[in-house]
Amino acid sequence: MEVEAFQKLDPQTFYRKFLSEGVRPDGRGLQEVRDVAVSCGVLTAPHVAASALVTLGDTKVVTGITLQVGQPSQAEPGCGDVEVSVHLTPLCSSMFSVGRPSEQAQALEALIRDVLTASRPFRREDLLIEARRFAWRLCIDMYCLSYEGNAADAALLSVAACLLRLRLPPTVITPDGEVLVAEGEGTPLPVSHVPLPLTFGVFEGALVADPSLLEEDLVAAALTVVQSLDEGKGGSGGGGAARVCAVHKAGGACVAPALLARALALGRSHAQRVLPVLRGAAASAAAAAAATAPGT
Amino acid sequence: MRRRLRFDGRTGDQIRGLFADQGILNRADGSVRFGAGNTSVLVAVYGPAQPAQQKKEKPDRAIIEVSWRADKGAQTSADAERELYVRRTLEEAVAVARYPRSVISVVVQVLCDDGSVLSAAINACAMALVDAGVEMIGMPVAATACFSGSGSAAAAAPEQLQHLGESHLQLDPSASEEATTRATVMLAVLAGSDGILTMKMTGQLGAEELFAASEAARKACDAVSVYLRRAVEAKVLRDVANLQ
Repeated sequence: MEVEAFQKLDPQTFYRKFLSEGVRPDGRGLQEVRDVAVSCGVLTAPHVAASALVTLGDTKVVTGITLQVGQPSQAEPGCGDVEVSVHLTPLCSSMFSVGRPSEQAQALEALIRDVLTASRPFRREDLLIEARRFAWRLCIDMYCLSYEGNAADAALLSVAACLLRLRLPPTVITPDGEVLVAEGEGTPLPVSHVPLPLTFGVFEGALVADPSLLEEDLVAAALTVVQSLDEGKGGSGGGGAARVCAVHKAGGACVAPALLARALALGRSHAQRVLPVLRGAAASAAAAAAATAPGT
Repeated sequence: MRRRLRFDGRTGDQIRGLFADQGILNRADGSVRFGAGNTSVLVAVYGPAQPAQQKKEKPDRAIIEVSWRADKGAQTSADAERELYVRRTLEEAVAVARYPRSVISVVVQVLCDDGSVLSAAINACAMALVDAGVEMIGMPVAATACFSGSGSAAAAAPEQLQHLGESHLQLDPSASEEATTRATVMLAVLAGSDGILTMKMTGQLGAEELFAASEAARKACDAVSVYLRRAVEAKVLRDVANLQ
């Protein structure tokens, strides 16, 4: 039988045959993640406070953070707000349509918001300008440019890259009670840890890291783990300590707790590889900004 | 083990009292009002029935629709996420292949959210599906566990965290406990099995703490599944007695 016909008629068996040989249809090993490339500062409009483009294999997302001055909520008068909107449109895949955000987009928004507000990579108190009156509102917009599976990892990485580059501009409060953005560099938002994701597909008891679009339809369950590394201590190699920032598994086939432990370990070693990429992209964007600054 | 009481007098490993009124709605095929402590949800199940839109039907299985109504306010994306969690959990538990080309519609109305509302909703859906007579592969049961300690402690460096030190596992947290928690773990399993069906962990935890919380939640799931079974049995016996 023709290979394409086999794949179309019985994708499960087709995939099983690959996995039993320890390789995936796109040539990757089971735990191999597609290449990650990050570039910071891709959106140059002055009102965009931070931006990053992440490519994960053929999946591409771009995220921009804009800052708005808002009033802190009554419930949390000392905190700024975080708003996340995820755009999965026909631009990235014919799976999506325009109009109301799809369920997948909403789930991704909730995941990003959970990670940013519950695991607290930054203190929302740091967004405060004046208690009860003014606070920065972080508006995080993520656009998927090309959807080839695992948008969750690409999205979370791009948000993390943005956070590393985010600076809060200096402000002046006028006697009339208005907030004016002053001239100057601004202060970087203190980021205590960088949440790094890894998504797995579960196929017949095996973990498949970073599932592609083809695999997302075939796997029996999806599992996303987000972890942050304790930098500074633990040091080189040795699988330094990590903290779990989120685990999301919505239904699908049941997985044994041992498999979750394995996923956490794999996520940790992936985080150790990805963190220098993120930091490198942030540093080179900072260098590029410094090089152009004196000329202007 | 040190017994440290919470605000409502429970120990860390105690869940709140459960209650369930089955078949309380006339027009729904199955319904239940289920709660734990002050948290209470009303779930109605309609179907299996023909889908309103034909293009939605699947030739080989039933589709499950979940709509989540919060107790107050407009629908937020957090509610949309809960819908997704409930739906994906139920899809694995209901024998969907038995009902091709049909739709099972589940409406979750939160009556009072006093914490652990997602796990309460999953338990309520399981009971309502049984009440509707929908065939199931397993009974999904859920429980929530959290680690106490303020959110700001989580942002502190790990060394400081050890100074603050006080972090306790609390099962079935109430809303006030959820507001000040360091991390929350919601776990759903199929009754009697060890595998993780659904897990939603938010906050910040070490890996060992995550497994401790998940193990505690799994034990709570066992307790909940015993309650669900007894409640359903009692209801069936009552119905039989009424018929005679």
